[in-house]
Amino acid sequence: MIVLFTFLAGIGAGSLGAMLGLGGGIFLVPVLNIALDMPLPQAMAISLVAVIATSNFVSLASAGQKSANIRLAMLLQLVSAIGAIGGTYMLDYMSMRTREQVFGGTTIVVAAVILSRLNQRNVLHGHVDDVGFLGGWFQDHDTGDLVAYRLKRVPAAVGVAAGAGVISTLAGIGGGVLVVPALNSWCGVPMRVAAATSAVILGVTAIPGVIDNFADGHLTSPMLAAGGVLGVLVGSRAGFWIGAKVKVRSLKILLAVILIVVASQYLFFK
Amino acid sequence: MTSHLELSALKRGLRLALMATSATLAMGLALSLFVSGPAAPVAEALLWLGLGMLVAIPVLNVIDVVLIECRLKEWRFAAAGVTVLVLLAYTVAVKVWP
Repeated sequence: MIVLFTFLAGIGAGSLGAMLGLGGGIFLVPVLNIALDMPLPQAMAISLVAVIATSNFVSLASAGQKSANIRLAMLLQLVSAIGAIGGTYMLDYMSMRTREQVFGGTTIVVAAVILSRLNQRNVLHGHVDDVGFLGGWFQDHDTGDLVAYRLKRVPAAVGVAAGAGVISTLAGIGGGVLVVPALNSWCGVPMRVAAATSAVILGVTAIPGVIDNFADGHLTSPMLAAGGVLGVLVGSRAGFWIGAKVKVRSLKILLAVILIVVASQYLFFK
Repeated sequence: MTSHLELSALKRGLRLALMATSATLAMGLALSLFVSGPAAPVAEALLWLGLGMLVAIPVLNVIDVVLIECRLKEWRFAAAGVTVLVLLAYTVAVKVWP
């Protein structure tokens, strides 16, 4: 029965992940830990494996490939991998409660940033020849036009990616919860491009955490991991289809609400 | 400027690998849940194989991008990809084989 519940939790995580460019771990960890009473390190290990599954599905899907800024992803996954490896060493000196509080506080800040910039659009109007270093074009689903964008504040993107890598290992999530809002709100990247690019980054970001959990013996049940992964793969398909039909503003509001709920869980109810 | 990287043969292979991963995990899970006795080691082996394939796919994705960037002579991005691969190899070497 626990395998079935893990599968269903994976479906929910995969749907949210595909819609919002998250790995879904931010949803999966609390469900496994609290609803299924799974030890937190084991829940995090399963979550990281599921994050890789979401990343694989979204980054290899044709829609994800068209939207993602692959070169930006290559730069950011380099720093996020460094952050994730650093996080594996930090784990030795940090209590589980401290990790929960750090994650909850960060999530609240990110939700506030998103809600304060709901109507911001990061597209360049008119004919644009030069989109600058790591800028690009994409098909805007809301208007149907091919629109351009420029990447702003590259150091901010790099810093957030590194922090996302650390958070990924400490909290058992992919880190998209930090990367997507930062790229969209601070760096001038349209929401769908930010989500697709983040999905490419998440898989590599989660690998150091998976390896560390495997080495420490937290990935004890391949059955549960498989249930979570298969649920995520099913949910990702549904999330991708739904996400293509929902407006950008609605996606931002949904992301902010999810972040507030999850942050409250880790700050006040653990 | 970001160029649209064409769909490489490796990328098509990775899509097939993802399908194979799902099938392997599904077979392993089904064997674990519905068949007991001698099939148990087979089921566990399939599950670990599927999980290993799942973790390998992002690595192969990075290799694919490195190869494309090398063909385009974009050495900065190729170097970024190679550095990621080295970091992941380092993690395995330190954590799994200390």
